[in-house]
Amino acid sequence: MLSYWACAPMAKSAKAGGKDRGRNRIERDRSRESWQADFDERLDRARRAEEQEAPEGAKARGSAMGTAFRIASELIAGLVVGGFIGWQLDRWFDSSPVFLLIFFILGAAAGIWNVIRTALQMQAEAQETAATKNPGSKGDSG
Amino acid sequence: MPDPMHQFEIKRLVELDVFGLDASFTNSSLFMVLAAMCVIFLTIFGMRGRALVPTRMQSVAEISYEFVANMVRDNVGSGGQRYFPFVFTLFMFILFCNMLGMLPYSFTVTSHIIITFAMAAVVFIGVTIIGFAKHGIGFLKFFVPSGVPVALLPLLVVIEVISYLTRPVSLSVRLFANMMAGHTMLKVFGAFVVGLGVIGGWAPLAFMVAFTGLEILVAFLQAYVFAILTCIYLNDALHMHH
Repeated sequence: MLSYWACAPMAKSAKAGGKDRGRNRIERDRSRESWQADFDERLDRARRAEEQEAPEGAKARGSAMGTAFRIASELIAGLVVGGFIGWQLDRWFDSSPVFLLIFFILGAAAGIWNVIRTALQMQAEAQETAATKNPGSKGDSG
Repeated sequence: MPDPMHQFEIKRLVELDVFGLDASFTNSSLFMVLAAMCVIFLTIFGMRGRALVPTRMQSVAEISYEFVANMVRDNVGSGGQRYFPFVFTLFMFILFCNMLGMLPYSFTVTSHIIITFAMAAVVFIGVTIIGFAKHGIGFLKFFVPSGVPVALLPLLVVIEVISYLTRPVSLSVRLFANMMAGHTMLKVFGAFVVGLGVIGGWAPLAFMVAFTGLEILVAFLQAYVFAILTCIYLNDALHMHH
């Protein structure tokens, strides 16, 4: 995957190098040297950017909806499971609707607890990626 | 107007009765077999060349392998590579079921909750067994939150147990609801295109083109979410921390 992306700047630089054919040899050698250094630097920068930003950008775009759905389904699942357990216990003990009421509330609590846990986890992940991203972007601009 | 739910109908293709149990080969079974065959075709025939510079198909097979391998390494941690084959199979199967469902006239296997719930139940039961096998009875400590006053403990343990039990439900409902809602939407807007005719049908058609793109994203995303949550649950069972 990386090699594909690394190829793109290389091809572009090769084209630019082909243009200054008319210069004399000394200047060309010198320019080639600097061109080589310049190329190495640009390749390095492109690799770094690819490593850091490309997967993260795609992830952020893709997972926004996934995040929303994950949190919503977490809450609903809590209610459904709590309600089901209560309903089943009521059927066994013939005590409708005592257990249904208790477990529906417990299920809601479990659902909300899951939502909080998921959100905290996501927040920690976001902060972690932000922390790793910042030094990289500073290095790029400097 | 055509019925938008018609596409989810199960049809028996080959009637089969095993000791009074209806085990007919349905259109759902057909598309599950197709999805499995596609995965096998991609991984076996795609990797047949084993070229250093991969062909397109080998490249796709390698990318999907690396994608899942990275997912397992990042989310399960130490001892996770053992479960890579399972996660890979699960991810590829769901992905191909979802993607095959995007073809016109095809059947979306994952739009039935019984299918997604069966898969989620396998993950849930498997992870629970792994947890008990690895930690013995100590796995029950997973349900006891730390740093909580003793008086609140019984209540919180019940809530923790319920929240553990919600895993298969949220896992299966998420996949099923996404796929069913998306495909119903597509059919409803398809009916709008036909209903409004040549003059008014262009707006819903343009929407449908965009929505089909979104649906392909969702098809991938839901397979990814299913696989990554499996990894997270495995991590919980292996290392026992929230």
